[in-house]
Amino acid sequence: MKALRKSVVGVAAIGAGALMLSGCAGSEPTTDAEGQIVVTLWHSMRGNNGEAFQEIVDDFNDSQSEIVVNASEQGMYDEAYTKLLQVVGTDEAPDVMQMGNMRETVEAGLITPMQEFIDADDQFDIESLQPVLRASWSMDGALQYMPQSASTNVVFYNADAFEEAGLDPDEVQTYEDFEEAARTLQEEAGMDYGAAFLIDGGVVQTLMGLRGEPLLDNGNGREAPPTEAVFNSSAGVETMTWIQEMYEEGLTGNYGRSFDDLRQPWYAGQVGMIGDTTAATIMHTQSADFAFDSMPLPVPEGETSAGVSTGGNGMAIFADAPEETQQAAYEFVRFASSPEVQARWAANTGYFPVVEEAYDEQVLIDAMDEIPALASANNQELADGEDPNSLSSLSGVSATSELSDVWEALYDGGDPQTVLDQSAAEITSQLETYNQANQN
Amino acid sequence: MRLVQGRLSRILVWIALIVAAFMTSFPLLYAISASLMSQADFNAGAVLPTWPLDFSNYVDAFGKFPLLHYLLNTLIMSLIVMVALLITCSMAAFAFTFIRFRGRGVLFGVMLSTLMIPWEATIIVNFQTVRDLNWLNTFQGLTVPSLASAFGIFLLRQAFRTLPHELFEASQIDGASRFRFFVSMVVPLSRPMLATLAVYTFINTWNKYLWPLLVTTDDRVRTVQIGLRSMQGEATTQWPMVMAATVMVMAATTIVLVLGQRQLKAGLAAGAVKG
Amino acid sequence: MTAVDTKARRARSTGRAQPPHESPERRRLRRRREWRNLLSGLAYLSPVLVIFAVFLFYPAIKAGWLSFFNTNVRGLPTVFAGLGNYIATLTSDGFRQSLVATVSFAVMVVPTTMAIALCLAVLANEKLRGMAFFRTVYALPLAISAAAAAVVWRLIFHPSQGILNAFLGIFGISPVGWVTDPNVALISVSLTTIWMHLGFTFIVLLGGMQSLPTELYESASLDGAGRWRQLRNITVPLLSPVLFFVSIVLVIDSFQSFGQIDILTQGGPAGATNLIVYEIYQNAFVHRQVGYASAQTVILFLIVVVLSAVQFRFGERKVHYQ
Repeated sequence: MKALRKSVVGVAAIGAGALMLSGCAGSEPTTDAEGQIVVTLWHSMRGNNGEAFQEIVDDFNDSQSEIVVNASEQGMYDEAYTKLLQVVGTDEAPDVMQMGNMRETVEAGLITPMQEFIDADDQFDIESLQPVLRASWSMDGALQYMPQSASTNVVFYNADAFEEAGLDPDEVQTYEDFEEAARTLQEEAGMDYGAAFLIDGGVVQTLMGLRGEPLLDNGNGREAPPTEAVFNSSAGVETMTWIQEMYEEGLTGNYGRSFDDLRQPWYAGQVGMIGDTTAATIMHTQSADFAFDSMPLPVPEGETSAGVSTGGNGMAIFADAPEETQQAAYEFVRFASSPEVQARWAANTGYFPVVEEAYDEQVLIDAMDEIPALASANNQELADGEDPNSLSSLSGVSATSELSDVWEALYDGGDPQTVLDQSAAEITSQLETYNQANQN
Repeated sequence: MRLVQGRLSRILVWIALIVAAFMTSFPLLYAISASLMSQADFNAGAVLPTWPLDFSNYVDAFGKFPLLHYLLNTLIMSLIVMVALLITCSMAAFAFTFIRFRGRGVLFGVMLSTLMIPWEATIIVNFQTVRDLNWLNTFQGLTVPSLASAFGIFLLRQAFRTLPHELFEASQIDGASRFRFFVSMVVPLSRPMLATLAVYTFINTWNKYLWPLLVTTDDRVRTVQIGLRSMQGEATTQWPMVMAATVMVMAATTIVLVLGQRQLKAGLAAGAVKG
Repeated sequence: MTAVDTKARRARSTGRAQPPHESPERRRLRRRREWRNLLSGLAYLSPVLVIFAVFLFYPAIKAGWLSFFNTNVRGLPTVFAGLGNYIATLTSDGFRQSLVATVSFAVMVVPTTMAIALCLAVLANEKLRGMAFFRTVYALPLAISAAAAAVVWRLIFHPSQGILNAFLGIFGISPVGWVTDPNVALISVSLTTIWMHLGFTFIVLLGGMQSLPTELYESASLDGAGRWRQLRNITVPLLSPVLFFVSIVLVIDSFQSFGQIDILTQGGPAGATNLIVYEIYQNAFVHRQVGYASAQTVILFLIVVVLSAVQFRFGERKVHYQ
């Protein structure tokens, strides 16, 4: 009823033609009845992972009495980010958020670099972060976001079906091996499709990163703002041709862009291997009634993997929030990346821990013993973070969402070189506009 | 025109009616059927639920999602828009019909021209306006931009113009008595068309999608349509439960439709013919 | 035009004319009354005028202004772009594809919906027992929101769990990628939309049909005109104003379709269902190019104006008014 009354007042206000000016984010932190600082947190974790995330928040709130974190789920990353930009500058904006899009937020001055909090904190050792993550979430020589939920794209396979078809997962290393395995699964294990991928530019990003091939110039946008798309290189064409040929041969199925639609047929035993994120490992243990395991995505014949780079997201603290609230948010961020919390988080979800010491925790050791896919994911070789081209691209214009469109065009029979050239030109022109509008 | 001209044609018409009814209601029947299935039945590709019916999906939908809260929000939003729109539009239509003033024709033309402005052309700036007013996640943000409708004014003006001419003469008085005339004569006599507009506005507002998507970022005033959207894309969507929620969402407007169907048919057709 | 209407018009025109011999006193009174009428008229109009000004005219103008700028992440104009956004829009493959998709969509949806709804209305216009039930059933989609309809159809179209593919499977037809195949997705979205619009179209057409005079049919039957000829020669011509109204509403609705796209396909696959409003939404809110998106809204506005003008010009001529 209060909201109703408020809206009536609103109607009256507009009727009188009165314009209310927006209230700026005050410099005083919001506090609750007990005087605790309230930190608003947005995240994108759902289902099993959402519960595990809420557990971290609850534990933090119980562990002390100065700060209370209010977490709310805001949809998938893209959706949540769209919402964020809708509310930036209003009272509805969060104080801290689990997100990506780092170049954009840094250039727009939306966030306070994580480095500033760490530099003022003598308890946190930045060296404890895994190198690939530290590299991934740094820009302009400073750590901008705190890594929190780190995942990689891998291949989950139905181990029962592999056994039935007489396949050895260790021998599935190259594009050709993968194709052959898919064919065998169809022929020997009666699968509708040997494999399926989510139509997602993020998968292309991983496939290219494994080969040390960039999507954008200037070291994938990590050495300087990107100005040009280069994913139409011969490597890009090779990788996308592989994807297209498997589809046209009927080895992979097209289940669209939704994770849910991709996983259903795998659970139902209609598809043998799916490209999926390690973040789904524990969810898979709850839904798959067969033995399964994971292995790295393949590389072309004659190449060796440069180590896998990470997706997922980091924690960003917003510059608009009152200073005390920002500091309180940092307390939570540090808590969430401590070895104990990260070990439990990894064991409960499938994300891998952002700090090396988490592997010493018993809870994670036990989980890795119990769940093969978790062990495989955590034992895969990570990129060392030295080569920017093996990291994900850092850009104000999303190359990966464009690559999802490319993928669909290829499933529709487009010529890989032509389609990639067109898309690259499109991204290059968008980069030009973005750089003009946002960097002066 | 009569199709039925004999026994055979009667049977054929009946068959056609039933087939058409099945086709038009199939998505609804399928939704209801899926909402009563267990997840296991659903995964096995069942078409009909097994007996005894399983209502646990409905319980889950209300338990796991703030569905009741969404429904209430949507109801409040729809009622605000419905009531306020009836008031603003009937006042405007009254002025255009019963008050003679300079520039009336021009203003009416301007009003009608707004029908040409596609609503989408305004959303970007409207969103910015509502954000700058700090109206995100409020009912005023949800409702105020749609509190006037050229279509509504037009429809009511049509109705007001069919009122007896004597009323028109009587209205050439001014001041307070004019307002009383408006409230005690014009409005009651135009009840059918007002009801049409009310039902139409209620259903349209209840079903709004893009605007609530933009101006609600959390559950406080989020409407049920946006709630439905967020129920999917779970790691593994529980379709039977989503269908249960969908059925509940459809039920509300269906009741309004069944109650207001006669009004809607007569009113909209009249508006169409005279338009 | 009704009698009341004519009289009202006459009354208005005499009210405006200058009486030839008017005493200064009466003139003063008349002036005062006119002044008071103006104030009172504006008072009654003020709520809608304010709303229209703030939420319709201002944004329309502001969008025009924004369309000449490139905007930053916060949606604020930073660099004057001149006609850059218009040139970019008109030369972009994405926009052209989206325009083609929107037109094909309208072409699939509008005539089909009207044809099916007309059949339903003819059936439901019979006088049979239980007809009230059928009428309600046919009108039902009117009550269903785009979101709810799209969620249900998404399940119907589901690649591995959908009933449509299961049904086709009975006849040995391999699964169709209803929402994943670029060649089929627009048809699937159209199917959903046709169903959504059926209720409204049906209810308006039935209302129109019920107000048609019955005598014409009686004399036509006496002349031995068959049912088909009666439909073609009497019903459709007499119903033409209603059909015209419905066609305009449906065309506008097709151009505004958003919810079903957002839930079913999100504009994909490969942009096949990226209808114009979805394209604008994506550019404005997802890609954060408010200036570019504003240019697209201006172009959309011009298209709708031209389209309505054309529709009125050709439609009105064919419409039979009583």
